[in-house]
Amino acid sequence: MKKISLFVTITSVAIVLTVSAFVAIIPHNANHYPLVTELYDGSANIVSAIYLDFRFYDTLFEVLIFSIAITGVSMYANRVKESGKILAANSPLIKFDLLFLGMVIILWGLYTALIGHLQPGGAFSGGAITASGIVVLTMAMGSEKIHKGVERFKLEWIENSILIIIVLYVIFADIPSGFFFPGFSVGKIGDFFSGRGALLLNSTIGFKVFVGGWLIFYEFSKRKESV
Amino acid sequence: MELNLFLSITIFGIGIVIMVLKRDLMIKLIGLGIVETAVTLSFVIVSHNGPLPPILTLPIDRVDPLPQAMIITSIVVGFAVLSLSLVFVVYLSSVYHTTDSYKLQKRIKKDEQ
Amino acid sequence: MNSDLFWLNGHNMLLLPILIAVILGTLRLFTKNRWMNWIELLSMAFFTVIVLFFQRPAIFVVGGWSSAIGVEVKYDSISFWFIFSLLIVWSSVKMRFEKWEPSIESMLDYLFASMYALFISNDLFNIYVTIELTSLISFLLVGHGKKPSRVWAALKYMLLSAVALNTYLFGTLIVYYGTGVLALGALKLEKIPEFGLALILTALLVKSGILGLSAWIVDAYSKSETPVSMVLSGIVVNAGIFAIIRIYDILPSNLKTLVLVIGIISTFGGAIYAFGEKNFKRILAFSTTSQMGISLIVLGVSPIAAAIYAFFHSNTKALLFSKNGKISTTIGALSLAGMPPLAGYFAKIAIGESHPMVSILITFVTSVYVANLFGPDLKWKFSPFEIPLEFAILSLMFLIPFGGVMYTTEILATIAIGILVGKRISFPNFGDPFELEEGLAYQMAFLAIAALTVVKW
Repeated sequence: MKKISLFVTITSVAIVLTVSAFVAIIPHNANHYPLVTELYDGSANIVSAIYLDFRFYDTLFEVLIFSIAITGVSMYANRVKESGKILAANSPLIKFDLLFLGMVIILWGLYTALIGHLQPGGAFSGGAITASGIVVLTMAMGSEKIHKGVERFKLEWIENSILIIIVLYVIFADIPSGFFFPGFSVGKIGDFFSGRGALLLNSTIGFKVFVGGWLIFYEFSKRKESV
Repeated sequence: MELNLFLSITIFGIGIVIMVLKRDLMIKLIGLGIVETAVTLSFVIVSHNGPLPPILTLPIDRVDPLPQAMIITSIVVGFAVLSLSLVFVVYLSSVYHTTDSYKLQKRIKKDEQ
Repeated sequence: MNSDLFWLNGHNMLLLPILIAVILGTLRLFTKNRWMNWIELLSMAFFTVIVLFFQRPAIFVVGGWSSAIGVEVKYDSISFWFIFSLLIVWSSVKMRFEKWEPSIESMLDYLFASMYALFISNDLFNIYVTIELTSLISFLLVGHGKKPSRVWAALKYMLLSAVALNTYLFGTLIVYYGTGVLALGALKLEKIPEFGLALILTALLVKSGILGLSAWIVDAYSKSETPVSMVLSGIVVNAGIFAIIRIYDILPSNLKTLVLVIGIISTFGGAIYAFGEKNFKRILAFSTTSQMGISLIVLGVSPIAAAIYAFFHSNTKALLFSKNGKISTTIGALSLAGMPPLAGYFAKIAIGESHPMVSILITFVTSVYVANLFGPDLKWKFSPFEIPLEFAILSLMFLIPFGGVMYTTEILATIAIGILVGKRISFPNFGDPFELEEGLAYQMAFLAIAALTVVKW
């Protein structure tokens, strides 16, 4: 049965490739966004204007997808026994280098997340960079100290409450017009305080992605030898 | 169809053949990652109208920004799916002590008898 | 807009249940009290009933932008039936007051928000995001509980669904490449590359529960817990059918014929597979594939009839999966087969008017496998939380304008013959050819067939 399914798959993929080689698509080079961004949004990065302002409805669900992934990972990882841990670095030279590198990566990640409306960057990339800085710090200081940080800062509680800030922005940012209308001010292009709600949203979503990445790393590294 | 888009469909097909061909669950997950990378690559190809990034302070030869916003969402979704399936694989292998999908199905069938 | 109340005009009223559901879901995580379920139930029911009664059909863009740069949202009578069905099944699951931990209860609220957002959406990329959110929540629900074999069913479901949704994204990209728009309202006026539509159709058929393509259905429905099966078969399976109804107008005619053919194959194939099964939940799982095939056949007649059929099917299936004793199962089983005073009869009138022989044949095969549901372990219970579902099924009998009474004696005779055949004759079991690799092979084979259909004729 498995050999038949393999044969059918390879044949079907070959047929789809052959058909697609002869399909003629005339590209339609669309260019709707630059004028609208300059007038109504004011951020220099057009992609940030799209996913934080014009199509923010999709980004709300994407943040929900991210929260559900974190909740699911915690829920199912709790069924597996914990074992194994990451040891701190042995020699003081490597420990110092890794600590320095980790701090620089965390600061760089926060910077990328905050100025997403001026340069390529934004909440999701900045949060991912900051979470990888935590991985480097764990290699330096050992997993026990970093895992104590998860309990001390109550990371799961913080991660769940950030969603409330985003929903409050959706409801109350522009009360006369309704839900999902952007708030704050347009500003001059290239200014730090421009781009409507981009500063608030980038910092909250970036922080949420950072905390979520830290939590996933925490769950997996506690079970290093459970497989 | 453009050559680059055809090549990205080829990578999509290779990812699916890997998911069917190989028996180990971790390699199936890598195949899923290849499928998602092919979709991301095709977004980059479609949005290529000019050589410059979509920043307003640059002159007019910019790329199309809408597929790039769609890539951000699809990368986050792919990350969520991969992390959840990884946790499931870790849980299953801690209970049944194997990651080979044929042996896993046999042990599950024996478990239900 | 004369029904304005402060700033609660038509646009905001439509989006309000989503925001309330997200807030309630987040707040639910912080408390273990079960009276919180009452707050959720009453507020979601209140706001959704306001929308269902007072909202007029509307198409607008969220945020007030033009449809080329924002997300388009549409509410019409098809959305009405799907949202109504969502509210009824969701309330019945919440009213059971299961002993779940707070994270699962909050996930049910997020599921309401995402399905509601799907049922008002009119934009290809928004459909992708909401279907992904719904799928993620249902993966987590399927694996919940103590048995490890559920987690394998959830993993299989996850891998098949991820491949399908990546195919959908590829199709959306090719449609965008050729036309430059993503909103369905604007797509009706353009010339759409049909290869992209073939990809999108394959992906949506995988999510909607057709026989071979949805290889995840059998294991996911039969192995999960009872309330999770109610959620899956009553809420999640409507997602794929809704999306197919939305894009049906822009499909080329040979793809519409392909949808009809695959509907017929799935109806009779699913019923034949259900004949040989003895396990209660597996019979219902194959029955879902058969009924989804019937929805596709009804879609060929008119979209609003398919919406009503999906409403009837999700309520009946949730009622049957709840396993509440002999009375509920009898009402559900007869309604599924299509007995006159219950909802199934009126839902099948759309095909009954144009092709009466097909409708009689469908009633016959449904009655045969329905007879096998009455195993030895059903008791004479009658629980209070199944009342809304039964009310919904019985209430469809007031849809007399849709056709009235016809072929009553033929249908009653067919149901009686079918149940006798099912009780006396036992069919062989056809095994279970629906593992992971076979599911992927079916998806790719259907994609090849759809691509050939688009090119050749």
